[in-house]
Amino acid sequence: MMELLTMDGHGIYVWSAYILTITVLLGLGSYPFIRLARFKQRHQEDNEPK
Amino acid sequence: MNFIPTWLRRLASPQHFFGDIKLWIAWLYVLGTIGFLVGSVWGLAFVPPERYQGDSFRILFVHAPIAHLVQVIYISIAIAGVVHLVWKLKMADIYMSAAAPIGCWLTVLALVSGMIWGAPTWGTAWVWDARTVSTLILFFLFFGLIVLRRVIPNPTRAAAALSILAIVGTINIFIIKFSVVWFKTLHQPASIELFGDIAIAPVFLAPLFINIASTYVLAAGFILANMRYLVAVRNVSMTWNQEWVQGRKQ
Repeated sequence: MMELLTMDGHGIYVWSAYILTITVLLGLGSYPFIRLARFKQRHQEDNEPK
Repeated sequence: MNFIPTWLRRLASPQHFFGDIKLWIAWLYVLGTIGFLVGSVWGLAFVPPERYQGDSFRILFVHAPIAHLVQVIYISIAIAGVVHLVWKLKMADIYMSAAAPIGCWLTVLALVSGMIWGAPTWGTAWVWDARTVSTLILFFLFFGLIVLRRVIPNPTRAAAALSILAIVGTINIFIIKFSVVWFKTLHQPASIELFGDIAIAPVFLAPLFINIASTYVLAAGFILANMRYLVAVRNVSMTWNQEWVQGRKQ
């Protein structure tokens, strides 16, 4: 397990590259849905009778 | 254009696109995520260290697919630019606007993951060589596409400007591709050629190809999800959109 984490001194580079990749992919994947939900909510509020 | 199948022609209509594409996006997200997890875990834990680079080469299972993908995304934007200029297709304009930020962020990821790989492998995170600089220019091209859309108030002119920049910018894709052949660079030449030899040991190929395929699938999902958002925003006054906002339509 430690071997997988440290990777002979390269672990810091390898894991940071993978964590960064997953973070960017998660962000890119979720952002359109967040924006669409916000858009829908904003327009629902606009359409509500005052 | 009778050669285009009916289901594809249907997607050219914003209303049908908004409704039909939801299921596609879900499948692309699921398949892409499973593929990326399998490819990454395989590359991280189930292949031996590379003879010269040691374990740092495992970064290439994410860096190489993303670095290749951003070039394909840019070419697809340029094709959408041609489609928009020739046929004035609204969905082509929406495609360009949706794909540019995805391409921009993924280019940042390609550059940074390349720097992380370069630090232990080259002994430096950055060199001003032809491959790195032309990829940096690709980032500025994507950024330029985003900025152009925002600074030109007239949507028709903005779409035309985007199309022209995208088409002209394809020159840079050739420069990226051939930079390692035309110039003396620290970056290694292409290890996989479509019609040439593969300079990678077979044991590394499976996780690499799985990650290449899954990042393509994920990027397609991201772009379609972004397009769906833009379709909703740009058709705010339409009846079908109002019905969706009020919850009468999914």
